[in-house]
Amino acid sequence: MPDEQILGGAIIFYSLPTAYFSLENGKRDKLVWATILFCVSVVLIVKSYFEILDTRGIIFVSILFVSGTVLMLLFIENMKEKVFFFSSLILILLSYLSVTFFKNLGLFETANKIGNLVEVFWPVILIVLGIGIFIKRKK
Amino acid sequence: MLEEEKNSNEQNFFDQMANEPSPIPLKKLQRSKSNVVIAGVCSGIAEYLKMDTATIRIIALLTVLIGGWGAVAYIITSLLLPVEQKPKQLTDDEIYSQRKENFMTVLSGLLILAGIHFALVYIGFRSGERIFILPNDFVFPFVSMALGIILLSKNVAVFSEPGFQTPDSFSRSRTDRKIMGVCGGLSKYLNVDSSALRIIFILATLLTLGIFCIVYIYFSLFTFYETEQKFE
Repeated sequence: MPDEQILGGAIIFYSLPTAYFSLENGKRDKLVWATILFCVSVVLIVKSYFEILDTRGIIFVSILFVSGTVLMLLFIENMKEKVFFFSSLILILLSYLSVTFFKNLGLFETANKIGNLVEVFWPVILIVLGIGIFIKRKK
Repeated sequence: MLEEEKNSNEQNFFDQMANEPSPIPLKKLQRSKSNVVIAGVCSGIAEYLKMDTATIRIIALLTVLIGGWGAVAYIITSLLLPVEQKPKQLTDDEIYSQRKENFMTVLSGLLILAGIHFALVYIGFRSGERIFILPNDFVFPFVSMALGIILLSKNVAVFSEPGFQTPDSFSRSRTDRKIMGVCGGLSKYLNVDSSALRIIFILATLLTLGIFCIVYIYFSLFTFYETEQKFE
């Protein structure tokens, strides 16, 4: 069994019950992380089963879809907040449109150029994030 | 009889000496029992050197970059050093805030460590096949196991702050804001760090060609600012 499938399975095993219990307990921080982890593991498993040529393109769609899913779950957790529902609809719709209608507009090519920059500078992002958390650790 | 009395007097004198606080406080290098992440070595060293514990922990984590010899030194030190005899008595809130600070310190240390490692790999100063002196294939299973144990243990109960109530409704923050207070409000609503949320938001905006800006504008248009706090 490939590594991606094992990792994906393990994350699903952890994230699914965590998301479920977080919904019951109203712990939104855990709910958000568990939902993101669940979606990432699904992407990992799908990627291991299918041969996807434009791997960078998955990131573009995945970010939109995962964010939409997180906002939808936040709406389910607190039904009064309609703003989460509509924003999630916008994001999920845009993620669908980006692989169908917008594909011919050269959207992925432009996103890939930015992706190339992030690919080079991501260690710097990690260091900045780490220093930021270290400075604000006592807050 | 006299001999016995003399012995008991001597005994009392030594007992008194032992109980009396020393005029010059002795600096002892010992493992901490009140501020522990693994074995309390870093906290003990910080107390001995009168430095910030978090800084010592970050330095200890960064020693991984020189081949993981810091980890070996840590194990040997934890075996050799005595444990603190009189640990500080902490309240529940203090224990919680200390645990949260430790979690944030380790997380930030790991992020900085990973960032430096991959930057050095990109430049070509380090091999991408090894993180410690051991190959990646050997190290990653242990790292995964450690993560699993940490997640299952109660040491990551930092998510549930005692007495902290997440707000019932989402509103933009007046105090923690850079543009319209959306990220600040969202961080308060979700109980996550606002600066981390901002970095993630900026990254997502860049990677999706600014689509997240639409969401930001939507949030700022359709949500109100939090009610102003009045201090008497």
